[in-house]
Amino acid sequence: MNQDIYVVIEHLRGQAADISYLMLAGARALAQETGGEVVAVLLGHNAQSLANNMAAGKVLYVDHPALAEFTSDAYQKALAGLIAEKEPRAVLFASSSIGADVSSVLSSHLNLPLISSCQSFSADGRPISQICGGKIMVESDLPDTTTLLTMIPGGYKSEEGQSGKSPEIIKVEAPALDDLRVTLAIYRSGSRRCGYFQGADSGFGGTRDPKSGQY
Amino acid sequence: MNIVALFKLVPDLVEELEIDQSGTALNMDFLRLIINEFDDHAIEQAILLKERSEARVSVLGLDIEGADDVLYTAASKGADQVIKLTGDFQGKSNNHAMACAVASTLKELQPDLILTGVQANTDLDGSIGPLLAGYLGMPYVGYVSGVNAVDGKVVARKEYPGGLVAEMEIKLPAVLGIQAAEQPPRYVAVTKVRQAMKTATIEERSLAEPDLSGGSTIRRMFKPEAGTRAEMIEGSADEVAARLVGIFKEIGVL
Repeated sequence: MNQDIYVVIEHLRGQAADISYLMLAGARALAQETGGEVVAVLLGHNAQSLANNMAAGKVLYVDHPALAEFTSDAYQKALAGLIAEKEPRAVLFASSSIGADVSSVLSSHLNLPLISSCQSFSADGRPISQICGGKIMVESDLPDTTTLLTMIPGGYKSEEGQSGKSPEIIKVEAPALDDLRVTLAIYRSGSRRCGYFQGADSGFGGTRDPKSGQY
Repeated sequence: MNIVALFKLVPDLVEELEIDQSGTALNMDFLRLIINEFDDHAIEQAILLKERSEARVSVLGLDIEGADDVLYTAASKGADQVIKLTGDFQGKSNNHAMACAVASTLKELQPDLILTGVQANTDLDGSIGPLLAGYLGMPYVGYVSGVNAVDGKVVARKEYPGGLVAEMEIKLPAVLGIQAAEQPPRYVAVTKVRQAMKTATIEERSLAEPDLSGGSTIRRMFKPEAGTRAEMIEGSADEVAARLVGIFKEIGVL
C-alpha cells in the first residue's frame, strides 16, 4: 500500500461536479498527514479536458466508450482493478447518486473498509462523519489498509480543489467492459410535484410534455 | 418474479439523541426506533410491482423491537411472506457485518430483485443495498424512484441532482436502492394490521453471528457545535432588503 489519496472525479453530461473539487481539497488535507500525493481518477470518454483545472499531483485517466456516461457496473469494473493494483492509502468518492452506487459495492467486493458521509479530516487525519441527519458527528480511526470514504460538502471549499496549472495526466488502460449488467437507456428531465413523480404515461409516471414527449 | 424487500429500524430523529457513556455509540435505552423512511418506500415499490405482475414479495427485517409491527403492516399491504431474522445483533454492529450475514439468508430465498432503502440515517459504513450487491455479486443501482420489470430485466429511474433522471436497464438478479416509490407508502388502517396479526405468520430465520471485524473503529461521537455565524436581520422591509443586497455583494454573488 502506498500513501497516496485517490479522488474519484464525479461528472455528469460533460460537467465536473462541484463535489469533485471539494474532495480534492479534502484529499490534500489528508495527504499532508499521510505524506502521499493527491491523485485524481477520471473515468470517461473523450473527457480528458475535465482534468485541466484539478488541484492534483496527477490524474489517472481511463477512457472507454462505456464510461462516457455513468453506469454503476462499468465504474465498478474500471475502479476495482485500479484500486486493487495501485493500493492507495484512501479513495474518496462523493456521497451522491454516483459515488454511493460504486463505493459500497467495491467495499464488499474488494473487502476494503468504508467510512461514509465524511465531512472533513481532523488534524491527525481521522475522518469526521455526519450521521442521524447531522445531529451526531463521528470521528473514526483510518484503518491500516486501503480505505474507501464517501464525502459530503461542508468541510472544504471547492476553490481549494482547483488549480490554474494543469496536472500531469496518465492514461490507464480500461478493463474489458463488454458484458455490462447495467446500461443507460435514456436521460429524462424529471419533474416532481409533492416529492413524487406524477402520472403514469410511461409506466413509470412522470410529467410529460405532450408536444415534445419529454419528461 | 421473486422480490425481497429489506427494512431497517432507525432512530426517530424527532427525538433528542444522546450519546452513551462510552462516547462512541448512541444511547439506545430510551431511543424510539422507526422504520427507515427509504425502506418504507422500498416495500411500497415491491407491492406496486406485485400489483402489476405475477411477482411474489417477501419482506425481511432484523428481530428488533418494533420489527413485528413493520412485518404485519407489510403483510396487510400485500406481502406474501414476512421474515424476521433472529440472532445476537443487539450490540454494536455495522452494515458490512449485517449485509454479509443477511446475504446468506437471501441466497436461500433466490430473489430476482432485492429492494432496499437507498440509505439510512445511521449508515456509517455504506448502505446495506450496495454492500449486499457486492457480497452477492449482483449489479446495484441506487437513488431509484420507479421500477418496471420487462423480459428478465428491470428498467429503473435513477435520480441525479438538478432534476435529471436516467432510465437504467439492469439485468436480473439485481439490487436496487429505492429513494422514492412511484407513490407514497400506502396507509393501512389499524384494523387491517390487526387482521394481518391473526392471519399472517412471521417466519423466523436465524442469522449467522455477524463478523464485526471489518468496520472502522469509532474514536468518539459528539454533537455538532452550535453555529455562531447566524445573523438575524431586523428592521423594515427596505432595511432588510438593503442589508441583503450588501451581504450578497460582500460574498460576491452580486
